[in-house]
Amino acid sequence: MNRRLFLGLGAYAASGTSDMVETARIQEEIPGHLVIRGAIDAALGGETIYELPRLQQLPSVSFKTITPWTTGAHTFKGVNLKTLMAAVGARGSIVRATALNDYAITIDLSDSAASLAIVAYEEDGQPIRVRDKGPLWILFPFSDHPELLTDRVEGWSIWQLDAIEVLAP
Amino acid sequence: MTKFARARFWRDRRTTVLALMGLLAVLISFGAQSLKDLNQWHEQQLRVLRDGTWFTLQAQAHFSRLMVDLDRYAEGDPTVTHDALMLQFEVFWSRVDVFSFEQAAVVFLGENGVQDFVRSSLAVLRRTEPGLQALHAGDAVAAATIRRQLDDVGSALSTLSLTINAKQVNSLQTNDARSAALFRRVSFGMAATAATGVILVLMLLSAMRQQQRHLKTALAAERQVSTAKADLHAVIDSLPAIISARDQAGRYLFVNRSFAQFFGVSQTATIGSAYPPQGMLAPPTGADMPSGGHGGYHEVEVTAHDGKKRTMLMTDVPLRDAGPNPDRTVRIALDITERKEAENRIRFLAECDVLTGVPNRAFLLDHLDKLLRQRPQPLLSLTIVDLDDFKAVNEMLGHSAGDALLVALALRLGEGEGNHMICRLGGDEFAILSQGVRSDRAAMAQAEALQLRLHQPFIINDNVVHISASLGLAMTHRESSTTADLLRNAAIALASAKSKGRGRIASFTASLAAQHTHRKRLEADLHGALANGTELRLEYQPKFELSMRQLTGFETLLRWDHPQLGPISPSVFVPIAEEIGLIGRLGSWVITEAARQIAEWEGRGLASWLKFAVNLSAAQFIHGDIVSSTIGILRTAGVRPDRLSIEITESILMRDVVRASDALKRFREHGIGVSIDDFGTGFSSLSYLVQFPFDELKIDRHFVRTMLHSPAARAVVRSVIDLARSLEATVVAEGIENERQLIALHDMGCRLGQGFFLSEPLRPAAAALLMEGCRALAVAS
Repeated sequence: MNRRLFLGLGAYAASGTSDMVETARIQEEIPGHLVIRGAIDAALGGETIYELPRLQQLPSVSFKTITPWTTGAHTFKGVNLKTLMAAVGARGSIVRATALNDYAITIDLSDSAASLAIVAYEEDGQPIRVRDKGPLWILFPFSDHPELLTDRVEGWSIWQLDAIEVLAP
Repeated sequence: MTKFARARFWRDRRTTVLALMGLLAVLISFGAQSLKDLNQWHEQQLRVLRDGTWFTLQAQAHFSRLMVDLDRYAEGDPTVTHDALMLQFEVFWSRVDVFSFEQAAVVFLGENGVQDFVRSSLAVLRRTEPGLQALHAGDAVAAATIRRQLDDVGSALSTLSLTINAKQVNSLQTNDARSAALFRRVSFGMAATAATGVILVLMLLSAMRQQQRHLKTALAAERQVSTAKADLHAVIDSLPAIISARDQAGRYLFVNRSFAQFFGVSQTATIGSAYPPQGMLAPPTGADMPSGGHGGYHEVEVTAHDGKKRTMLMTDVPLRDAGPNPDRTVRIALDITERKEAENRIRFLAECDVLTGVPNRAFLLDHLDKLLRQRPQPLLSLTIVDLDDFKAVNEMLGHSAGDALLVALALRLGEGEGNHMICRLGGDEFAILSQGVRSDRAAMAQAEALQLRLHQPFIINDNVVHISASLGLAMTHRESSTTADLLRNAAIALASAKSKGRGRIASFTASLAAQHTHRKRLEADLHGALANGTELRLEYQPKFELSMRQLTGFETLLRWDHPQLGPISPSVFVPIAEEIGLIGRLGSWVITEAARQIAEWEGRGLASWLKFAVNLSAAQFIHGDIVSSTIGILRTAGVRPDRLSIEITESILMRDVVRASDALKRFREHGIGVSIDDFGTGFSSLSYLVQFPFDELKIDRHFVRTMLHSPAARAVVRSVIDLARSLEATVVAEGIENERQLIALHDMGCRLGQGFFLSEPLRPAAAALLMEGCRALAVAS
């Protein structure tokens, strides 16, 4: 929960767009789409959009875990974040993730914790609704790795994930 | 002592050392543990407080965004699609839902309170959802129903935010008491650690000396000493404190491992040298050494070897072998940086604005610092909103209404579109920080929209209250803005807006900056001018009797000859002096200089029948006892009070009628004449005016200048003359520039006048000549 404040600041800082631009962005990128931009494979032209089916084509990972923001344990399915970054040919290891709710966080992919991260798109076999922190949610197997329950990793657990920008190395 | 006796001595000593070490270990761990407890506890508090503030703010922000989208959609705004609206709804839902998992919410509201809030809010959202799903663009009626339903969630959020703020303050007060108790324990722990350290270092130094002195003694004895020394070393090294001992020359006799780590030096290389000599941890040497006891604990900032600033709690203990002067100093320091930071942080959170529930100034500064450190720097615009005449609301409706207005104002400020943060800077001053405003014009448009919203009346305790506010805005530019720049620029813009009247908006510009710099320079130089006294001087504007053109007195005029900028007009520097609190000194200077000049002229037999007028400004008049100070100055100079008269403006009188009237009476009791300056410009109320005792009315130069062309001006002049006559006061026309004006004034019955046509303001020498001429004339006739 600590992340909220911390992130609140970050989110506020990150959302430097006017309302109109904001609205336009939401229109273009309806939920279920993940925009990946920045230092990625040049062939992709600086930006690529992953709709749900395209994400599902990548190798999937599942785990059952508790989280600090849900009641009880749930099974989450998604694609490993590093796998996804490899798929877009990310050239840097620092990524900035932003959410529909304006939350934003910088994740260091070279950190060992980051290799366990997934971009979850299913919770208990169902797509995740926005109100339940979906449709995409970066999550970690907290139950298997309780050592991940730190402010930093909780902060990386960005829900309502909307875009990932790979910062140039 | 024989070799064997020595060996036994050290064997016995070693037992003592070990026993002491056991005791000390307890004391040390007590001190260290207290410090750790305090740090952890502070961190925990910090987290809860931060979160408490933020998660409500975030939810409120999203709520207003949802409402804005709803309104736009209802108006048929094509930029808001149904999908986009539903998305905002979903996101807001998640923001409410997440409260169940917020520890801070639980801390502040209790388990049940949080669950009640979440349950009732989600119930509203669930009820609203079908209507929202079916809502068609442009269907304002249906949208209004939905809005009403959602408003319940909005007000629940506001209540929540206020509750949290109130509870924060309570819990902070409780925490302060707890923090103080913990801090006492830490201090005790520190004292214990320090005492321990000193004893240990003493023993170690003594052991080292023993070892040196008896290098050639029995092997066994030497080994004993060596072992004792090693034990002591180990203990001192394990202390969390930074410990060093130095001799009078500043050379290190001993440093422990913490010291070496902190400064990034090696223990063995440091001993015997005077390095690190800089750094505040270097103990005082020679004359600086405290002469007895230890000098208490100090908090000092020290730069560690990695360049980071750390806060240390430090004490020095001087040691002496013989004689009065200490020859060694042991210094012990504990790193308390984290506790300091936590403390500072809590203090800043404590200042979170309780009344309105919005972030306070400290929060804004902190937040701006973070934003402006980012690269690329985000585009920010900062608007400072200052209510015009908020005092009047407080006075008319009472302070609780004033508070209610501030709360309502904070809410209204938050109603605008876009990504912004409202913040109360203090009093009736708010700041709005907006992101993503791309141009000055957009920022201005936002400010104008805000101004329109503020012009809508407020309903406060069943009263309709209309307010106006002045707005100053500033934007970041070219990656180089700092928090201080942005705030200062907005404040400069605000000052400019206020100077233009009520309800104005001003945007910061380069020319405003130049004006501001100029003004700051004048402020500084005015201080200098008052200090050296050579740049200030008085000129004397003669007053004449109009029919015979006889000299009747002088008005003293303050002049400032700026060494670089040349003459500065009093209309420029007097208001500055009033604002920066120099007017009292400036006023005293004028009266003192005038009194000195009058005394000098009296000594030369001049001016004994003439009155000298000095101008008093509002600030002088209202603060302090101007009557007593004036009389005091005249007495010191040996000048009779009836040689002086004071000139004040009508508006000064109106500021504080009772006080002003009282002061005027006292001036007149002393024989000091009272003249009302610039009469006609304020033209307040005759019934007010007659309350004031005065001897003279001065017709403002504006009416004199326009009276020949303007019947209205002529009417004013005539009525002032009639008024003066009926009040048995003399009347003086100011600013007579030509003979026609003089004749017209004379014809209307004005007896006295001043102005360029009669004489310009004179330097003292010229004024003396004029007086001599008049005396000759008087003698001749």
